[in-house]
Amino acid sequence: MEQEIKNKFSWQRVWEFGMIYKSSIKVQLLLYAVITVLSYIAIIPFSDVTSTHFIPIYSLLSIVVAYELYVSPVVFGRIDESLLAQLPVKTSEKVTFYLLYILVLLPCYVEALWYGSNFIGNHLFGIADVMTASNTFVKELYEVEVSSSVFICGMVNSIMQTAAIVMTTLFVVLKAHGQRVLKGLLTPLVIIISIGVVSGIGGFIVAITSTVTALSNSEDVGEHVVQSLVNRMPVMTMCIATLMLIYCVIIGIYTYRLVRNRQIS
Amino acid sequence: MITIKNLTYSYRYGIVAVDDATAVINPGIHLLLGENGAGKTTLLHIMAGLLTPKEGECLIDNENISLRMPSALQRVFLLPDVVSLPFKTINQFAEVHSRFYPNFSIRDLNRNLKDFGLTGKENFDTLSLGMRRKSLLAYAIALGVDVLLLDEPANGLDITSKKTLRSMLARCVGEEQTVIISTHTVSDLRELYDGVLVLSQGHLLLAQWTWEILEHISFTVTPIPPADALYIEQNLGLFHSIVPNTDGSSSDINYGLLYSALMSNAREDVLLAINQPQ
Repeated sequence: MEQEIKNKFSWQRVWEFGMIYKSSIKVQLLLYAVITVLSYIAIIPFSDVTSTHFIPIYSLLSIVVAYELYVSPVVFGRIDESLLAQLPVKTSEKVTFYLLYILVLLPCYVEALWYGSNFIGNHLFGIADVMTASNTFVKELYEVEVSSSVFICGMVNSIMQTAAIVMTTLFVVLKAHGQRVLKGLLTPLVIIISIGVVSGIGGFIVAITSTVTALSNSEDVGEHVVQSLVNRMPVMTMCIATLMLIYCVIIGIYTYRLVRNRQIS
Repeated sequence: MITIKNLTYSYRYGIVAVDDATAVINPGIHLLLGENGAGKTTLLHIMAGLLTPKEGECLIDNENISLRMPSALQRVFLLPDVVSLPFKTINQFAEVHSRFYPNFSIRDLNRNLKDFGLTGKENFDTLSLGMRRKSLLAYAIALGVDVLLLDEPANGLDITSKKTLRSMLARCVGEEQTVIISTHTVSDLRELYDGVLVLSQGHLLLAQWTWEILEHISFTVTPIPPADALYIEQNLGLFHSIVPNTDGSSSDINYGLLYSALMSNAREDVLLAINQPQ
């Protein structure tokens, strides 16, 4: 009976398991706060939203912030594997902690820092918010409106892609036996490059087909391609988001099995 | 108590590390001997739940450790040969790690650290290998787990520290605790052992109490080789022998000689003598 009670899922053990990583997590939170705020400060010199530099620079610095999320699981790579495997903690408790940290706690923390910086920048330094700026940018350049549905689908897609990359990094960090931190840092880079290549191919195909259609209808090619992309975005992004969700579930199952069956020799 | 039944573990490419091992290891301090690659570390890892046997099972107080349930894992602790910790001090590590082990005693930890000449506040990065080892040993012993597994615990320790470790184990290990010490340097903790386990090429040759062994065989040192010796080694003009104990005489166990005998052609004779019914 006592055994059954000890072996039931316990949130207290989830918390205590998390405390094992306390010192690494503290360092990560501090580092991320510094990087995120500095990234936003770097935008201030380019705060003229009418300039063509603003969106690209903002996007570049957003990647830095996104990369913080992608590599968040490296915080789990510094503790001796044999100590971890021996801990009297259920597999479900360990995985619950890992997923809560990388998918909920840390993203909320980083986003709060980033959007908090945006909020302060907007009110104290008059830096325009990005939604308005990107809308203006696309409209002026291509005479096309970015609707709210496109924006929302884009956000959902972004969240799912981030989750997929983060969970892949988690899997790599937990599976590796050596150089776990380094492998965790490089995994998102490999994935981003792969996504970039695939997206590039997909974009090329859409551009070609749209160009052909525009030419045949004697329409302005540039405007037609952009409008075509913008129209297709909600469907495309939701398809990708769904695929990413399925991927996350699968990698989550693999991660659970990895933690449960980890062999330490 | 540890019960291993038909325990078999093999690595990739069919390398068998532990082959059909069966034994009951009762509370006490046990010496685990074996040549390099005999399977000692593998056996310890299986007992700690770090490896799942391909066949057979390992039970800690009748609970299968391979299932990795908290109720079983909190009874066992293996201090491996090399440990990396992202903590500055042993006290910091103890603060978060000991919560999982209900029998942990902070008083024992402080006393053990003090015996080793440490405070627990030393920065791991600045400690030598020996000092780090001492910190971890002090902590492992203070956990008070039912089964404590130590892999080469005296590695890197100076002579005084080895003596300290000896008295620490003698003081802290309770009657209901099982400690298994895997080591090649038998002399370090010689006086402590209640039992001995011998592995050779994955086979568990021996798992018995030392007093049981001494009931059946004696260890002698004589100027001429005994006629009924089961195994003899000559060293500096004297003959170190294992002979059947026919008259119930007492002698000190010579683990090195016993190990050598079991690794030699005399293995079958020695095992036959040890396992003979009284």
